[in-house]
Amino acid sequence: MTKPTCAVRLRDVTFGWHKDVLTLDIAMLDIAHGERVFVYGPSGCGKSTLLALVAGVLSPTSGEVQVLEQPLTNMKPGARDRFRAEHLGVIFQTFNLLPFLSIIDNVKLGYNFSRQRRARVTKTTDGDSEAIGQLLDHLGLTSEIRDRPVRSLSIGQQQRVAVARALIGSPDLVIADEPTSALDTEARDRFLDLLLSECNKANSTLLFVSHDIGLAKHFDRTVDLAQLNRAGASTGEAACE
Amino acid sequence: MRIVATLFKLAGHSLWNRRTTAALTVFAISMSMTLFLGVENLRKSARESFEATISDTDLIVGARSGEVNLLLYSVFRLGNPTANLDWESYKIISNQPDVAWTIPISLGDAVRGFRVVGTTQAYFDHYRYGERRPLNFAQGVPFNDVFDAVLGAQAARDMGLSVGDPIVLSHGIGGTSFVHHDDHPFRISGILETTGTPVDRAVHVSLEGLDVVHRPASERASIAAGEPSDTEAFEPEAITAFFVGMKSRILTLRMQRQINTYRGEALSAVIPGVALAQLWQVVGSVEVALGVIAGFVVITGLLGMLTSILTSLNERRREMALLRAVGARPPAIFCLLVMEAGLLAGLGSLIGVILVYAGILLAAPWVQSTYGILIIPAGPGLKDLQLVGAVLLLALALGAIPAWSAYRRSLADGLSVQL
Repeated sequence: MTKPTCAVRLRDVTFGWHKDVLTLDIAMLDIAHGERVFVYGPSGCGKSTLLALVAGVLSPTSGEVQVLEQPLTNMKPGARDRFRAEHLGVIFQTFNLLPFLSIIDNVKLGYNFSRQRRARVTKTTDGDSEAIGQLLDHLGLTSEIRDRPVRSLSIGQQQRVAVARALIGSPDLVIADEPTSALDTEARDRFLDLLLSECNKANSTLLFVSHDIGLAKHFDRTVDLAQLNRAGASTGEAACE
Repeated sequence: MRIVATLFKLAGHSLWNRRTTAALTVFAISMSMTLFLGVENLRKSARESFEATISDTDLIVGARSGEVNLLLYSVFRLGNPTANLDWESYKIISNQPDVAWTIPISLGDAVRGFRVVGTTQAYFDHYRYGERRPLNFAQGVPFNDVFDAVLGAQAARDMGLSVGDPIVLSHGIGGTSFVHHDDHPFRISGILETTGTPVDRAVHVSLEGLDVVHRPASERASIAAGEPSDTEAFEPEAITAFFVGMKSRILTLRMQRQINTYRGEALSAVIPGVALAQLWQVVGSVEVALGVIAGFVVITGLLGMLTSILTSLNERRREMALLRAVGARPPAIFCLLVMEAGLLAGLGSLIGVILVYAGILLAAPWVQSTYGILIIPAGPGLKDLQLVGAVLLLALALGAIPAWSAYRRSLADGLSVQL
C-alpha cells in the first residue's frame, strides 16, 4: 500500500458536548502526509476534542473527518477502534503508562490491539523485543532503566516511554496532547528532538497540540486553533480565555 | 485471542497492583465459599447419614402411634413409646407365611446415657443400614448369655470398655439415674463396628437380659448363680417394637394394612422410607434455613467484591482512556472488568473449595464421633462444581455492573478524562 498523501482532512466539522453548544466548528483543516503540525491554542479551546475526533474516539456532530484518506465518519465504532490501533500513536500530557505493567509491556500496548501493527513490528526487525530495545535505545532509555518499575521513572523518562509506545510499529499518524507541559525547559527540548527524529525515522505524520507557542519553531507548520475554531470565536472569551 | 490474552494479563496485573484490597476481597469470597460448600456438604452428609440409618427393613411395627414417633423411638432411640405391644401379637405376625424375618426390640434402660436395647440374635443377622450393610463385630461375638451385652462402637469408645469388661445397667434414661442396679453387672461379649447410625450409641442385651434387670434382687442373684439358660427361647410379656422383613417387597403394603387393622390390639406398621421422609421434612427446614443463610453469605461476599471494583473505577478512568487510545474497544474494557470479577471470584472459590475439603478431611472423624454424621471425604462432586459454577456466574453478572459503567464512561470520556 502506497502511503496516502493526505494524513488528516477535516471538512465543516462541528462537535458539541452538550446540545446547542458547539465546542468545535472547523470549516477546513488539511495535514499532508509526513508533515509535523503544531496546533496552538490556550486551554479550553477544543484541542483535546479535536484530537479525539482525529483519533476516532469521538464522532463529530456534523461534517467529515478523514484520516489517511479513510472517512472515519462513515466507519462503525469498532472499525474506528481497529483503525486507531493499527495506524495511530497517541501521547498524553500525563498518565501515559499503566503503573502495574513493566516498561516493555507498556510499549507493547502500542501494538497489542492490532494484528497488522504487530506484524509490522516483527517484519522490520528480528523480533518484537529487538524492535522495542532499539526504540528505547534511541530514546535514551538504557537497558538498566528498562527493568525498573514505571513508578520509579522521572516524568521525562515516562514521557519517552510513551513516545516508544506511540511509535512502535511505525504508525502513520502520531497525535500528542501537551506531552511536554509537565517537563522543564531543558527536558522539553530534548523530548521534542527525540520525538521529531523518531517520527522522521518511522515516517509518521505528527499532530502536536500545545498552549506553549514557544514550541512552534520546532515544527513545519503552526495552526492557531482559536482562529480556526469558529465555535471558539462565536462564544467569545468564556470558551477561549 | 491475542487481545483476550492481553486483557487477561492486564486484569491480573491491575489486581496485583491493588493486591491488598484484592486479597481482602478474595479472602471474603473464599470464606463465604467455605461456609457455603461446607454447609452444603454437611447437609448432604446429614441427609445421607439420616437416610442410611435403616435399610432392608420393610416395616416397623409398634403400638398405635404416629409414624414419626414410632420411627423416632424404634430406630433413633429417642423419646419413649406410648405403649408396648404384646409378645403374642409379635408371634402371630412373625409367623405369617409372607414374613421372612423379624427383629424384636425392647427399649427401656440406659447406661451412662447410652440406651439399652433388648433384642435377639436376629438383630445381628438381619439389621441393615446404608447400602444394605450388615452389622459387623469389631471385637467379640453376639450375646449368648443373660448377662451378656454387645456395645455399639461409640458407646464402647466413650465408656472406654472392651470385650470382657463388666457393665452396670441402671434404671431410667438419664446418665445420672438415682437407682443403680449395681448388684448384677453384665459382661461385654462383643463390640460392633462403627456404622454412623444410632446403633453406635446402643447397648444391646438379650430380651431376657433386659427382663432380668427389672426383677427383684433375690431372683437376679439366683439367675446369675444358676445354669445358663437359652436366651433365644425366652418369651417376654411385651416388647417395644419390631422390624419386619418380607419375603417379597410387593407384599409389604398388604402386610401393613393387615397389621394396621389387626384385631388383637391397636398396632401401627410404618414403611421406614416413608417415615424417614416425613421426619426429614421436620428436620429439613433447618437444613433449608442453613442453606439460605450460607447463600446470603456468598452474596454478601460478592457484593463486597462489587464495591471494591466500583470504588476502583474512578481512579482508573485514566487507565481506561489510555486503553481506548491504544485501540482497545469499549467491549474490551467491559471484558477487562468482568475478567477482574471472574479472577477474584474464581480465586476465592478455589481457595474456598480447598479449605472445605481440607476441613472435611480433618473434621470428619470428629463430626462422626460427636454427631454420628458419617462424612465421606470424597473429592469435589458434580454438585460442588454446580455450586461453584453458579457463584462464578453470579460474580460475572455482578462484574458486569462496573463493566457497564466503565463501558459507558469510556464512550463518553473520549481521549482525555474530564475530572
